[in-house]
Amino acid sequence: MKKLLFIILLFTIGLSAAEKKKLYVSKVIPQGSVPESISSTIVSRIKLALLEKYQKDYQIVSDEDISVMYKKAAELQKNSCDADSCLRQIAEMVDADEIIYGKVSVSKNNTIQVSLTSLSRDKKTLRLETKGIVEESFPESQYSHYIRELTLKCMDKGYTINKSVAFQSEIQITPISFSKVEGVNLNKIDFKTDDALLKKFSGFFEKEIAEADALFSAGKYADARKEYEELLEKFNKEVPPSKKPLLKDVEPSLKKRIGLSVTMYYKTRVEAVDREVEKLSKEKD
Amino acid sequence: MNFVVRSFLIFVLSCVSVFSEEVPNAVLFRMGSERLVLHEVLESMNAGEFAILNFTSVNCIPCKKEIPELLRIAEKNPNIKLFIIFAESNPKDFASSLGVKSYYTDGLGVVQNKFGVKEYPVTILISRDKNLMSRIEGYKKKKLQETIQKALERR
Repeated sequence: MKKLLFIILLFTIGLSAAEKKKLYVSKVIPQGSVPESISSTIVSRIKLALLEKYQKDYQIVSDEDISVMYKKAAELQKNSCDADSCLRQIAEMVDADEIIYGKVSVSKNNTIQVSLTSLSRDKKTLRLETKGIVEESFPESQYSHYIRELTLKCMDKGYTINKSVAFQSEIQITPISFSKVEGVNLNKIDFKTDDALLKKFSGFFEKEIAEADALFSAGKYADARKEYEELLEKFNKEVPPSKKPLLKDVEPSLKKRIGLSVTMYYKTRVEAVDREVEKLSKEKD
Repeated sequence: MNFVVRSFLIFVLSCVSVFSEEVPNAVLFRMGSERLVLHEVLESMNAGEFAILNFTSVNCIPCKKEIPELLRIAEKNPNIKLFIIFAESNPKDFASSLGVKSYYTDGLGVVQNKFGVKEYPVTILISRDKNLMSRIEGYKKKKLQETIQKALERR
């Protein structure tokens, strides 16, 4: 009985320790005048998307990791091989199961075009086969979203690229940073009025907006946004059209606050993602 | 009787499979770029042909004598498919100084690791059915000639 339990235990351990597949993320080669830094930012975003969805199944290695780990590979990358040949030789060295590489170019209207290719490598026959090729053009500000989508599509043919980007903020492609967002210090709205009904409304909105502003100031952007949206809905529903011109600041101010909440919400998320990438890179080092 | 014959055949076949050693599969990079899969190359060879993998290095002194000898033998015997594999990624000048027109590179040492190459030269003879025929470490002209001659006679 003990023996049987021991065998079952060994079998279970064996199953749980199933080896992860090796996924080698090679270069995204910059075309034309595209700086190398954009290429490495895209590779970082690809790695992040892979870690997010495929961490359990794959061990992910990139050129950056390889050049740190293998002196010979670093020398090879520097001197002796073109991108395609390097990729294939390194894929052999790391005994990769899958390989992702690509290219990036920028068009005249400043849209970025990225194409990614994934190859599968049979460890026994050593044959390389194209698993998927995806290509997409998008504004620079949406690169983070699209690289993620392209990566997931590259890994899974059945995946549908989500083309509805949630925000349109001014993200610089590298390093990821937001340009100064106007009005982050929220302006006070002018609530002064002599109309009795409006006084009632203005008192309500003043109090509610101040509370939502406090959420915003505390960095609770999603909650603040919800509050602003509810207030805007109330303003449009409950304030009579004839009185709206007298409270003309409220609607644009609320809309501005909603926009800022969205921007700040994603800014913090992108920054968190950036920190995670940096942490992972350091861990790999 | 049938049982005895069948048992004997099974025994012989199992002995063959134990004693014949299949070489590992590896990717050879011709002049650093063209990608060839060793097993595919072997499978595509004609009856009577066999492959010689010669692991060499630009820093190896006996290799300078061995390579011209191998080139001479391979030129004389069309049944020999010679693969000169350099341990360096860019041995172009050294290769051309020895008259090597076609060579393979293994700058990352992947193929060398698979074949347990630690010093140069190492010459490995492989049949088209992927079995190891012979392995020579170091260079002695007579030994090399005899080993290749034996392999040619066995084909």
